[in-house]
Amino acid sequence: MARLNLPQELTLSDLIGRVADIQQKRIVFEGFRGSDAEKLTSLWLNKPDEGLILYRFIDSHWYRVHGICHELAHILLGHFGCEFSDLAGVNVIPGITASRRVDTLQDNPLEAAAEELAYELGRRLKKNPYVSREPETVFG
Amino acid sequence: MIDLFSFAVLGLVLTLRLPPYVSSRTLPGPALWSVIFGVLALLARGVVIPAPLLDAVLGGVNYLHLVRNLLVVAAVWCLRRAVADEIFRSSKTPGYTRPRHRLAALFGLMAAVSILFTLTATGPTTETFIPQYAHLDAIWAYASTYMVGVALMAADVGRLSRWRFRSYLGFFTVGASIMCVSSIVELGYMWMIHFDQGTDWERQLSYWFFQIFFYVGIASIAIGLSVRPVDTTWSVRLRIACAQLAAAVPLPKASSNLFARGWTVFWSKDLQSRAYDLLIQTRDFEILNEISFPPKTRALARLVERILTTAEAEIPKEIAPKNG
Repeated sequence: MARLNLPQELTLSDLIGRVADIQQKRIVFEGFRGSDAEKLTSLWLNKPDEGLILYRFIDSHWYRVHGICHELAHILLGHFGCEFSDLAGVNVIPGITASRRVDTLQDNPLEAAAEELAYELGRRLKKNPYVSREPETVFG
Repeated sequence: MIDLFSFAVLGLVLTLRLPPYVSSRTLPGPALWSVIFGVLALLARGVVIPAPLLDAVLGGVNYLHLVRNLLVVAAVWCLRRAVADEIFRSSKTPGYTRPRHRLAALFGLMAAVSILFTLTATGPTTETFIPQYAHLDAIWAYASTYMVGVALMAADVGRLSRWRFRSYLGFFTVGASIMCVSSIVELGYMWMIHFDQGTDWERQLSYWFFQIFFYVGIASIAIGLSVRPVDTTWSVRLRIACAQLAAAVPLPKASSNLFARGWTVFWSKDLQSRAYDLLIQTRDFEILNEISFPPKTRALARLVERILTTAEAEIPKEIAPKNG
Protein backbone atom coordinates (compact mmCIF):
# COMPACT_ATOMS: atom_id res chain seq x y z
CA MET A 1 0.00 0.00 0.00
CA ALA A 2 2.80 2.39 0.89
CA ARG A 3 4.43 1.87 -2.52
CA LEU A 4 1.15 2.63 -4.27
CA ASN A 5 1.11 6.00 -2.56
CA LEU A 6 -2.66 6.23 -2.77
CA PRO A 7 -4.54 9.15 -1.26
CA GLN A 8 -6.63 8.55 1.84
CA GLU A 9 -9.78 8.69 -0.28
CA LEU A 10 -10.21 8.10 -4.02
CA THR A 11 -12.83 7.10 -6.56
CA LEU A 12 -13.00 3.68 -8.14
CA SER A 13 -12.03 5.20 -11.50
CA ASP A 14 -8.94 6.82 -9.93
CA LEU A 15 -7.91 3.49 -8.44
CA ILE A 16 -8.39 1.61 -11.72
CA GLY A 17 -6.49 4.34 -13.56
CA ARG A 18 -3.57 3.92 -11.14
CA VAL A 19 -3.52 0.15 -11.71
CA ALA A 20 -3.80 0.60 -15.50
CA ASP A 21 -0.79 2.95 -15.35
CA ILE A 22 1.21 0.38 -13.40
CA GLN A 23 0.21 -2.48 -15.68
CA GLN A 24 0.49 -0.31 -18.82
CA LYS A 25 -2.66 -1.95 -20.12
CA ARG A 26 -6.24 -0.94 -20.63
CA ILE A 27 -8.60 -2.46 -18.08
CA VAL A 28 -12.05 -3.40 -19.30
CA PHE A 29 -15.05 -4.32 -17.14
CA GLU A 30 -17.94 -6.57 -17.94
CA GLY A 31 -20.71 -8.02 -15.86
CA PHE A 32 -21.56 -11.69 -16.11
CA ARG A 33 -24.62 -13.64 -15.16
CA GLY A 34 -24.33 -15.99 -12.26
CA SER A 35 -26.44 -17.41 -9.54
CA ASP A 36 -26.24 -17.41 -5.76
CA ALA A 37 -25.34 -21.09 -5.90
CA GLU A 38 -22.04 -20.28 -7.63
CA LYS A 39 -19.14 -19.14 -5.55
CA LEU A 40 -17.30 -17.36 -8.34
CA THR A 41 -17.95 -13.65 -7.88
CA SER A 42 -15.32 -11.96 -10.06
CA LEU A 43 -12.59 -12.81 -12.51
CA TRP A 44 -9.50 -11.29 -14.08
CA LEU A 45 -8.50 -12.36 -17.58
CA ASN A 46 -5.00 -11.23 -18.41
CA LYS A 47 -5.30 -10.77 -22.18
CA PRO A 48 -2.25 -9.67 -24.18
CA ASP A 49 -3.58 -6.21 -24.96
CA GLU A 50 -5.88 -5.58 -22.01
CA GLY A 51 -6.96 -6.79 -18.65
CA LEU A 52 -10.56 -7.94 -18.57
CA ILE A 53 -12.26 -7.93 -15.20
CA LEU A 54 -15.61 -9.64 -14.91
CA TYR A 55 -18.00 -9.05 -12.05
CA ARG A 56 -21.27 -10.72 -11.21
CA PHE A 57 -24.51 -8.90 -11.97
CA ILE A 58 -26.54 -10.36 -9.14
CA ASP A 59 -24.32 -8.96 -6.42
CA SER A 60 -24.87 -5.64 -4.69
CA HIS A 61 -22.85 -2.60 -5.72
CA TRP A 62 -20.18 -2.71 -3.01
CA TYR A 63 -19.79 -6.46 -3.34
CA ARG A 64 -19.12 -6.06 -7.07
CA VAL A 65 -16.68 -3.27 -6.30
CA HIS A 66 -14.93 -5.45 -3.74
CA GLY A 67 -14.61 -8.22 -6.33
CA ILE A 68 -13.02 -5.70 -8.68
CA CYS A 69 -10.66 -4.54 -5.92
CA HIS A 70 -9.70 -8.17 -5.37
CA GLU A 71 -8.79 -8.59 -9.05
CA LEU A 72 -6.92 -5.27 -9.06
CA ALA A 73 -5.03 -6.55 -6.03
CA HIS A 74 -3.99 -9.63 -8.01
CA ILE A 75 -2.63 -7.34 -10.72
CA LEU A 76 -0.82 -5.16 -8.19
CA LEU A 77 0.67 -8.17 -6.43
CA GLY A 78 1.98 -9.52 -9.74
CA HIS A 79 -0.12 -12.68 -9.69
CA PHE A 80 -0.92 -14.46 -12.91
CA GLY A 81 -4.31 -13.81 -14.43
CA CYS A 82 -6.20 -16.50 -16.22
CA GLU A 83 -4.85 -16.60 -19.77
CA PHE A 84 -7.61 -15.83 -22.23
CA SER A 85 -6.68 -18.80 -24.41
CA ASP A 86 -7.39 -21.14 -21.48
CA LEU A 87 -11.01 -20.12 -21.56
CA ALA A 88 -11.78 -20.33 -25.25
CA GLY A 89 -15.01 -22.17 -25.85
CA VAL A 90 -15.40 -23.05 -22.21
CA ASN A 91 -17.70 -21.70 -19.55
CA VAL A 92 -15.83 -19.58 -17.09
CA ILE A 93 -13.56 -21.99 -15.24
CA PRO A 94 -10.79 -19.82 -13.95
CA GLY A 95 -7.40 -20.69 -12.58
CA ILE A 96 -7.49 -20.28 -8.85
CA THR A 97 -5.42 -17.08 -8.81
CA ALA A 98 -7.72 -15.49 -11.32
CA SER A 99 -10.99 -15.53 -9.47
CA ARG A 100 -12.54 -14.40 -6.28
CA ARG A 101 -14.00 -17.60 -4.96
CA VAL A 102 -15.15 -17.15 -1.43
CA ASP A 103 -14.30 -20.75 -0.52
CA THR A 104 -10.61 -20.35 -1.44
CA LEU A 105 -9.93 -17.13 0.44
CA GLN A 106 -8.80 -18.82 3.64
CA ASP A 107 -6.69 -21.65 2.26
CA ASN A 108 -4.89 -20.13 -0.69
CA PRO A 109 -2.09 -17.71 0.25
CA LEU A 110 -2.33 -15.83 -3.07
CA GLU A 111 -6.06 -15.37 -2.65
CA ALA A 112 -5.64 -14.40 0.98
CA ALA A 113 -3.02 -11.78 0.06
CA ALA A 114 -5.20 -10.38 -2.72
CA GLU A 115 -8.19 -10.31 -0.40
CA GLU A 116 -6.28 -8.47 2.29
CA LEU A 117 -5.16 -5.84 -0.21
CA ALA A 118 -8.70 -5.68 -1.66
CA TYR A 119 -10.05 -4.66 1.75
CA GLU A 120 -7.39 -1.96 2.03
CA LEU A 121 -8.30 -0.64 -1.42
CA GLY A 122 -12.05 -0.89 -0.88
CA ARG A 123 -11.90 1.00 2.41
CA ARG A 124 -10.22 3.91 0.68
CA LEU A 125 -12.89 4.30 -1.99
CA LYS A 126 -15.06 7.37 -1.68
CA LYS A 127 -18.35 6.67 -0.06
CA ASN A 128 -21.24 8.82 1.05
CA PRO A 129 -19.68 12.15 2.06
CA TYR A 130 -22.45 12.63 4.61
CA VAL A 131 -21.09 9.74 6.61
CA SER A 132 -18.02 11.27 8.08
CA ARG A 133 -14.90 9.32 8.93
CA GLU A 134 -14.37 11.62 11.89
CA PRO A 135 -16.59 11.16 14.92
CA GLU A 136 -16.49 14.71 16.29
CA THR A 137 -16.01 18.19 14.92
CA VAL A 138 -16.74 21.71 16.07
CA PHE A 139 -19.82 21.91 13.89
CA GLY A 140 -21.70 18.81 14.97
CA MET B 1 -39.14 34.37 2.96
CA ILE B 2 -35.38 33.89 2.88
CA ASP B 3 -35.10 34.71 6.60
CA LEU B 4 -37.88 32.23 7.34
CA PHE B 5 -35.85 29.60 5.47
CA SER B 6 -32.73 30.46 7.53
CA PHE B 7 -34.80 30.33 10.69
CA ALA B 8 -36.12 26.85 9.78
CA VAL B 9 -32.62 25.55 8.97
CA LEU B 10 -31.08 26.96 12.15
CA GLY B 11 -34.06 25.65 14.14
CA LEU B 12 -33.34 22.17 12.76
CA VAL B 13 -29.66 22.46 13.72
CA LEU B 14 -30.66 23.56 17.21
CA THR B 15 -33.06 20.62 17.54
CA LEU B 16 -30.40 18.14 16.44
CA ARG B 17 -27.53 19.54 18.45
CA LEU B 18 -28.89 20.98 21.67
CA PRO B 19 -30.31 17.86 23.44
CA PRO B 20 -26.91 16.26 24.30
CA TYR B 21 -25.78 19.51 25.92
CA VAL B 22 -29.01 19.79 27.89
CA SER B 23 -28.90 16.18 29.09
CA SER B 24 -25.22 16.37 30.07
CA ARG B 25 -25.64 19.88 31.48
CA THR B 26 -22.60 21.19 29.63
CA LEU B 27 -22.22 24.49 27.81
CA PRO B 28 -22.39 24.44 24.00
CA GLY B 29 -19.37 25.35 21.88
CA PRO B 30 -19.11 28.51 19.75
CA ALA B 31 -20.76 26.94 16.68
CA LEU B 32 -23.92 26.13 18.59
CA TRP B 33 -23.88 29.52 20.30
CA SER B 34 -23.75 31.05 16.86
CA VAL B 35 -26.85 29.05 15.94
CA ILE B 36 -28.63 30.10 19.15
CA PHE B 37 -27.86 33.80 18.61
CA GLY B 38 -28.81 33.45 14.94
CA VAL B 39 -32.19 31.95 15.80
CA LEU B 40 -32.86 34.70 18.35
CA ALA B 41 -31.77 37.40 15.85
CA LEU B 42 -34.17 36.04 13.25
CA LEU B 43 -36.93 35.89 15.85
CA ALA B 44 -36.18 39.54 16.61
CA ARG B 45 -36.62 40.26 12.92
CA GLY B 46 -40.21 39.08 13.30
CA VAL B 47 -40.13 35.82 11.36
CA VAL B 48 -42.49 34.17 13.84
CA ILE B 49 -44.06 36.93 15.94
CA PRO B 50 -44.48 40.31 14.19
CA ALA B 51 -41.65 42.68 15.11
CA PRO B 52 -43.98 45.52 16.30
CA LEU B 53 -45.49 43.18 18.90
CA LEU B 54 -42.05 42.23 20.20
CA ASP B 55 -40.89 45.84 20.21
CA ALA B 56 -43.99 46.81 22.17
CA VAL B 57 -42.81 44.49 24.95
CA LEU B 58 -39.52 46.42 25.00
CA GLY B 59 -41.27 49.78 25.30
CA GLY B 60 -42.19 50.46 21.69
CA VAL B 61 -39.18 52.70 20.96
CA ASN B 62 -37.31 50.44 18.50
CA TYR B 63 -35.10 48.73 21.09
CA LEU B 64 -35.81 45.56 19.15
CA HIS B 65 -33.56 46.95 16.37
CA LEU B 66 -30.70 47.24 18.85
CA VAL B 67 -31.36 43.80 20.34
CA ARG B 68 -31.40 42.21 16.89
CA ASN B 69 -28.15 43.85 15.88
CA LEU B 70 -26.45 42.81 19.12
CA LEU B 71 -27.58 39.22 18.49
CA VAL B 72 -26.20 39.35 14.93
CA VAL B 73 -22.86 40.64 16.24
CA ALA B 74 -22.73 37.81 18.81
CA ALA B 75 -23.71 35.20 16.19
CA VAL B 76 -21.04 36.28 13.70
CA TRP B 77 -18.39 36.56 16.43
CA CYS B 78 -19.16 33.01 17.61
CA LEU B 79 -19.14 31.72 14.03
CA ARG B 80 -15.70 33.24 13.45
CA ARG B 81 -14.47 31.61 16.65
CA ALA B 82 -15.96 28.24 15.61
CA VAL B 83 -14.42 28.35 12.14
CA ALA B 84 -11.01 29.10 13.68
CA ASP B 85 -11.48 26.24 16.18
CA GLU B 86 -12.31 23.86 13.34
CA ILE B 87 -9.41 24.92 11.14
CA PHE B 88 -6.80 24.84 13.89
CA ARG B 89 -8.29 21.79 15.60
CA SER B 90 -5.87 19.15 14.41
CA SER B 91 -3.13 20.85 12.47
CA LYS B 92 -1.32 24.10 12.02
CA THR B 93 -2.09 26.00 8.85
CA PRO B 94 1.25 26.89 7.27
CA GLY B 95 2.11 30.57 7.25
CA TYR B 96 -0.96 31.49 9.24
CA THR B 97 -1.48 32.27 12.88
CA ARG B 98 -4.69 31.72 14.73
CA PRO B 99 -6.76 34.91 14.94
CA ARG B 100 -7.51 36.43 18.33
CA HIS B 101 -10.94 36.14 19.83
CA ARG B 102 -11.00 38.52 22.71
CA LEU B 103 -14.33 38.64 24.47
CA ALA B 104 -13.38 42.20 25.47
CA ALA B 105 -13.44 43.19 21.77
CA LEU B 106 -16.91 41.69 21.36
CA PHE B 107 -18.24 43.39 24.47
CA GLY B 108 -16.52 46.64 23.46
CA LEU B 109 -18.29 46.62 20.10
CA MET B 110 -21.62 45.75 21.72
CA ALA B 111 -21.21 48.49 24.32
CA ALA B 112 -20.31 51.09 21.68
CA VAL B 113 -23.31 50.15 19.56
CA SER B 114 -25.64 50.20 22.57
CA ILE B 115 -24.41 53.56 23.86
CA LEU B 116 -24.71 55.21 20.43
CA PHE B 117 -28.25 53.85 20.04
CA THR B 118 -29.41 55.15 23.40
CA LEU B 119 -28.02 58.65 22.77
CA THR B 120 -31.10 59.52 20.71
CA ALA B 121 -34.66 58.70 21.68
CA THR B 122 -36.42 56.97 18.80
CA GLY B 123 -40.03 55.97 18.49
CA PRO B 124 -42.61 54.83 17.79
CA THR B 125 -41.95 51.31 16.48
CA THR B 126 -41.09 51.21 12.80
CA GLU B 127 -40.01 48.45 10.46
CA THR B 128 -38.02 50.89 8.33
CA PHE B 129 -35.83 52.16 11.14
CA ILE B 130 -32.67 52.99 9.19
CA PRO B 131 -34.38 54.85 6.29
CA GLN B 132 -36.28 56.92 8.86
CA TYR B 133 -33.53 57.65 11.38
CA ALA B 134 -30.15 57.40 9.60
CA HIS B 135 -30.10 61.18 9.18
CA LEU B 136 -29.62 61.48 12.98
CA ASP B 137 -25.93 61.54 13.97
CA ALA B 138 -26.20 59.04 16.81
CA ILE B 139 -28.28 56.55 14.83
CA TRP B 140 -26.00 56.85 11.81
CA ALA B 141 -22.97 56.29 14.06
CA TYR B 142 -24.72 53.39 15.82
CA ALA B 143 -25.73 51.61 12.63
CA SER B 144 -22.40 52.30 10.91
CA THR B 145 -20.38 50.98 13.88
CA TYR B 146 -22.52 47.85 13.91
CA MET B 147 -22.20 47.39 10.15
CA VAL B 148 -18.41 47.90 10.15
CA GLY B 149 -18.09 45.33 12.95
CA VAL B 150 -20.20 42.78 11.06
CA ALA B 151 -18.40 43.45 7.76
CA LEU B 152 -14.97 42.94 9.33
CA MET B 153 -15.96 39.74 11.14
CA ALA B 154 -17.76 38.37 8.06
CA ALA B 155 -14.69 39.13 5.93
CA ASP B 156 -12.57 37.21 8.42
CA VAL B 157 -14.98 34.23 8.39
CA GLY B 158 -14.81 34.20 4.58
CA ARG B 159 -11.02 34.38 4.65
CA LEU B 160 -10.58 31.70 7.33
CA SER B 161 -13.03 29.28 5.73
CA ARG B 162 -10.85 29.06 2.64
CA TRP B 163 -7.88 27.66 4.47
CA ARG B 164 -8.86 24.07 4.77
CA PHE B 165 -11.47 22.37 2.73
CA ARG B 166 -14.57 20.98 4.35
CA SER B 167 -17.82 20.93 2.41
CA TYR B 168 -19.65 23.14 4.88
CA LEU B 169 -16.84 25.71 5.07
CA GLY B 170 -17.63 26.54 1.44
CA PHE B 171 -21.08 27.71 2.51
CA PHE B 172 -19.45 29.96 5.11
CA THR B 173 -17.05 31.43 2.56
CA VAL B 174 -19.89 32.26 0.18
CA GLY B 175 -22.32 33.41 2.88
CA ALA B 176 -19.84 35.52 4.81
CA SER B 177 -18.55 37.13 1.61
CA ILE B 178 -22.08 38.08 0.58
CA MET B 179 -22.75 39.43 4.08
CA CYS B 180 -19.56 41.46 3.96
CA VAL B 181 -20.36 42.97 0.55
CA SER B 182 -23.95 43.78 1.50
CA SER B 183 -22.75 45.36 4.77
CA ILE B 184 -20.47 47.64 2.76
CA VAL B 185 -23.38 48.52 0.47
CA GLU B 186 -25.51 49.30 3.54
CA LEU B 187 -22.75 51.54 4.89
CA GLY B 188 -22.89 53.40 1.59
CA TYR B 189 -26.66 53.64 1.81
CA MET B 190 -26.55 55.07 5.33
CA TRP B 191 -23.86 57.52 4.27
CA MET B 192 -26.12 58.71 1.42
CA ILE B 193 -29.05 59.15 3.82
CA HIS B 194 -27.01 60.88 6.49
CA PHE B 195 -25.16 63.27 4.20
CA ASP B 196 -28.04 63.66 1.76
CA GLN B 197 -26.11 62.23 -1.15
CA GLY B 198 -27.06 60.07 -4.12
CA THR B 199 -30.24 59.87 -6.14
CA ASP B 200 -33.43 58.19 -4.93
CA TRP B 201 -32.76 55.40 -7.36
CA GLU B 202 -29.26 54.77 -5.90
CA ARG B 203 -30.63 54.83 -2.38
CA GLN B 204 -33.45 52.43 -3.22
CA LEU B 205 -31.14 50.07 -5.03
CA SER B 206 -28.56 49.93 -2.24
CA TYR B 207 -31.28 49.55 0.41
CA TRP B 208 -32.88 46.60 -1.35
CA PHE B 209 -29.52 45.07 -2.17
CA PHE B 210 -28.77 44.93 1.55
CA GLN B 211 -32.26 43.76 2.50
CA ILE B 212 -32.01 40.83 0.11
CA PHE B 213 -28.35 39.84 0.00
CA PHE B 214 -27.53 40.19 3.70
CA TYR B 215 -30.14 37.52 4.36
CA VAL B 216 -29.03 35.40 1.40
CA GLY B 217 -25.61 35.37 3.09
CA ILE B 218 -27.18 34.32 6.38
CA ALA B 219 -29.10 31.55 4.58
CA SER B 220 -25.87 30.22 3.06
CA ILE B 221 -24.21 30.18 6.49
CA ALA B 222 -27.29 28.47 7.98
CA ILE B 223 -26.98 25.70 5.36
CA GLY B 224 -23.28 25.35 6.22
CA LEU B 225 -24.13 25.04 9.91
CA SER B 226 -26.62 22.27 9.14
CA VAL B 227 -24.22 20.05 7.15
CA ARG B 228 -22.42 18.44 10.07
CA PRO B 229 -25.48 17.82 12.26
CA VAL B 230 -27.29 16.21 9.31
CA ASP B 231 -24.09 14.27 8.56
CA THR B 232 -24.05 13.09 12.18
CA THR B 233 -27.65 11.96 11.81
CA TRP B 234 -26.64 9.87 8.79
CA SER B 235 -23.70 8.47 10.74
CA VAL B 236 -25.91 7.50 13.67
CA ARG B 237 -28.33 5.82 11.27
CA LEU B 238 -25.46 3.90 9.69
CA ARG B 239 -24.05 2.93 13.10
CA ILE B 240 -27.38 1.51 14.19
CA ALA B 241 -27.88 -0.39 10.90
CA CYS B 242 -24.34 -1.83 11.06
CA ALA B 243 -24.78 -2.87 14.69
CA GLN B 244 -28.06 -4.61 13.86
CA LEU B 245 -26.48 -6.32 10.86
CA ALA B 246 -23.46 -7.47 12.89
CA ALA B 247 -25.78 -8.84 15.57
CA ALA B 248 -27.85 -10.68 12.96
CA VAL B 249 -24.95 -12.40 11.16
CA PRO B 250 -22.66 -14.74 13.15
CA LEU B 251 -19.47 -14.02 11.20
CA PRO B 252 -16.41 -16.19 11.88
CA LYS B 253 -14.01 -14.71 14.48
CA ALA B 254 -16.79 -12.48 15.85
CA SER B 255 -18.16 -12.87 19.35
CA SER B 256 -20.93 -15.43 19.84
CA ASN B 257 -22.84 -12.84 21.86
CA LEU B 258 -24.99 -10.82 19.48
CA PHE B 259 -25.15 -7.85 21.80
CA ALA B 260 -21.34 -7.78 21.99
CA ARG B 261 -21.11 -8.01 18.19
CA GLY B 262 -23.49 -5.11 17.71
CA TRP B 263 -21.87 -3.06 20.48
CA THR B 264 -18.36 -3.43 18.98
CA VAL B 265 -19.54 -2.38 15.54
CA PHE B 266 -21.63 0.53 16.86
CA TRP B 267 -18.58 2.12 18.46
CA SER B 268 -16.25 1.58 15.47
CA LYS B 269 -13.81 4.44 15.06
CA ASP B 270 -13.76 4.38 11.27
CA LEU B 271 -17.43 3.81 10.56
CA GLN B 272 -17.17 3.85 6.76
CA SER B 273 -14.48 1.17 6.68
CA ARG B 274 -16.28 -0.96 9.25
CA ALA B 275 -19.52 -0.75 7.28
CA TYR B 276 -17.68 -1.70 4.09
CA ASP B 277 -15.99 -4.71 5.75
CA LEU B 278 -19.27 -5.81 7.24
CA LEU B 279 -21.09 -5.69 3.90
CA ILE B 280 -18.46 -7.82 2.19
CA GLN B 281 -18.08 -10.32 5.04
CA THR B 282 -21.84 -10.70 5.36
CA ARG B 283 -22.27 -11.49 1.68
CA ASP B 284 -19.24 -13.85 1.74
CA PHE B 285 -20.83 -15.64 4.65
CA GLU B 286 -24.09 -16.02 2.74
CA ILE B 287 -22.39 -17.39 -0.38
CA LEU B 288 -19.94 -19.63 1.45
CA ASN B 289 -22.61 -21.26 3.60
CA GLU B 290 -25.07 -21.42 0.71
CA ILE B 291 -27.77 -19.78 2.77
CA SER B 292 -30.20 -17.01 2.18
CA PHE B 293 -30.60 -14.44 4.94
CA PRO B 294 -34.09 -13.63 6.22
CA PRO B 295 -35.71 -10.56 4.58
CA LYS B 296 -34.98 -8.40 7.66
CA THR B 297 -31.23 -9.08 7.49
CA ARG B 298 -31.20 -8.49 3.73
CA ALA B 299 -33.05 -5.22 4.26
CA LEU B 300 -30.40 -4.12 6.79
CA ALA B 301 -27.61 -4.95 4.34
CA ARG B 302 -29.42 -2.96 1.64
CA LEU B 303 -29.81 -0.01 4.02
CA VAL B 304 -26.08 0.00 4.85
CA GLU B 305 -25.32 -0.30 1.14
CA ARG B 306 -27.63 2.60 0.28
CA ILE B 307 -26.17 4.91 2.92
CA LEU B 308 -22.62 4.17 1.75
CA THR B 309 -23.19 4.50 -1.97
CA THR B 310 -22.54 7.59 -4.06
CA ALA B 311 -22.90 8.14 -7.79
CA GLU B 312 -19.13 8.53 -7.97
CA ALA B 313 -18.66 4.87 -7.10
CA GLU B 314 -20.13 3.59 -10.37
CA ILE B 315 -18.21 0.86 -12.17
CA PRO B 316 -16.65 2.19 -15.39
CA LYS B 317 -16.69 0.34 -18.73
CA GLU B 318 -12.97 0.64 -19.30
CA ILE B 319 -9.97 2.72 -18.28
CA ALA B 320 -6.78 3.12 -20.27
CA PRO B 321 -3.35 3.94 -18.84
CA LYS B 322 -2.35 7.60 -19.09
CA ASN B 323 0.63 6.99 -21.36
CA GLY B 324 -0.69 3.87 -23.03
